[in-house]
Amino acid sequence: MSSNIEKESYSFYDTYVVDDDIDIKLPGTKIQFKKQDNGFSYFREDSEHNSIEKSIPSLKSIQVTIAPVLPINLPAKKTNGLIFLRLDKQIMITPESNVEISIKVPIEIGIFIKSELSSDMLDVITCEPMHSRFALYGVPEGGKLCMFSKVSQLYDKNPEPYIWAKMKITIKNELKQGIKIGKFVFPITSHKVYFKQKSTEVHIDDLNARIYSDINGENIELTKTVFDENDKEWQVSDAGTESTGSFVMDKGFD
Amino acid sequence: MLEFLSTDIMDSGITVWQILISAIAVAIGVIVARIVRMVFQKKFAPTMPAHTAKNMTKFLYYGIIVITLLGVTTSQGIDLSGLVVAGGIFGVVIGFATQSVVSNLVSGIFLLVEKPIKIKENVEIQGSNLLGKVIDIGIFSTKIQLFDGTLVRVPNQTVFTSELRTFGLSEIRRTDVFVGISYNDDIEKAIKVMRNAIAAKVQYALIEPGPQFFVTELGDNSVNIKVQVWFPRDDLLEVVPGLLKVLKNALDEAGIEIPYPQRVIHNAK
Repeated sequence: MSSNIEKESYSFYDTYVVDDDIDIKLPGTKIQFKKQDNGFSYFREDSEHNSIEKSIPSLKSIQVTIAPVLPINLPAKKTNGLIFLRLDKQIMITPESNVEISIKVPIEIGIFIKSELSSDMLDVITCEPMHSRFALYGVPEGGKLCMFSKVSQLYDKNPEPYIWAKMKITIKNELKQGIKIGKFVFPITSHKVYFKQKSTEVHIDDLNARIYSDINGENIELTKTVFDENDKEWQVSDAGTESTGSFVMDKGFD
Repeated sequence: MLEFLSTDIMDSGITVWQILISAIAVAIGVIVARIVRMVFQKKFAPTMPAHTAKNMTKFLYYGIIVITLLGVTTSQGIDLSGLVVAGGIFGVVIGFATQSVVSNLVSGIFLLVEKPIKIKENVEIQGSNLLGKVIDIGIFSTKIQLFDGTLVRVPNQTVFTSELRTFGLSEIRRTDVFVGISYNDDIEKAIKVMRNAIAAKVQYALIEPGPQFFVTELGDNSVNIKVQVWFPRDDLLEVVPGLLKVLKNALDEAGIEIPYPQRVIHNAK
């Protein structure tokens, strides 16, 4: 799918004024707004041929915003906001060191109807169905249910648009031994999603990871750090919650 | 009028005036109980677990009414010793007659104290072969809504003395299914095909812990493989009904045979 994305031209994240029939193209997904006598109809078919139709009664034109959102809605919102990112390759962190990495983080795409009072989600889609999966962090008797995605590190290359956002993780190893990290689990609902109009670039708030040990063993404490938006064109699409607390991975991280 | 109010009813020492005052006091007690119940439901119940809030509400309401009744009878000089004597006489008879009622009442109290099940939780009562959602835990009975929409009222004694299977401890559950493949087929290939099919087609199947496969039996007609799939606790219907279909279709597409029962017959010469 990723190679096709680069070749074909798709609709940007943007706000569209819909006053007539309009097609919005996203990878593997067909979206149509059609003008009807009493308003508009919305049709969407995804890459797995699941389709939905909705009606939007309106006497005038409508504003439709296509924007990235946090990956917590599909197939159902039921994980208390936790995400489980399984790294395709383990990262080795040397003793008492600081490293900074960038990784891909999955996104979903929200279709919003914008009005003067609010912006309401009409639909949410994913361009990569394998991101709508679950995993458990911990043992079955007491683990926490999370959204799951298999991710990789980003080096210079930008991630595939419509599927991934970028996130920076600053890792500090306080231990006197090297540590292998194979996964990150954290409450993604405290992160904001940033995007640019007429673009496909997406970023989410960054993470600080502190590796330490206590009487129960080795842990990673993950704390959100606000994305440094030095470019004023960035907009926040999914605001998340204003949590400043940290999450401790105390059930393993290899 | 005053004479009428001071009339002694059936020479019992209780006057009409006392009865009137008692009735007014009880009515005020009921009104107070209702106000307390309303305030409790609005201010305190939302912060408590549903079943605790419900039981506390009942306890407060009926507690105030009982205290009012006792207060009224005492303050009006109504002698209840006659009732106590009568109660003593009929106590044994009533005790035998209401044995199961008392048993359910006591079981209900223990259910409320021990809390082996909670309202809105799915539960299986193994002795009664019932599986459904707990709707209400009352003083005498527990109401369980089965998954076909019907409601079953189970006496508390049955609930308390049965083996209960609940699903609230863990956020996930597991289902086990069995698939038989032909002796001519490659077991590793079959497992790989099934693993990939579950990952791709069963959206609610957990990726970690992923599905597990065990060859459980070299059967008469097939090599039998047990497939264990974990899924979010409340999503049984998203996984179980379609799982065998997904596995069969994947094995069919990969040309792996699910054999019919068969016998090899040798002709003696």
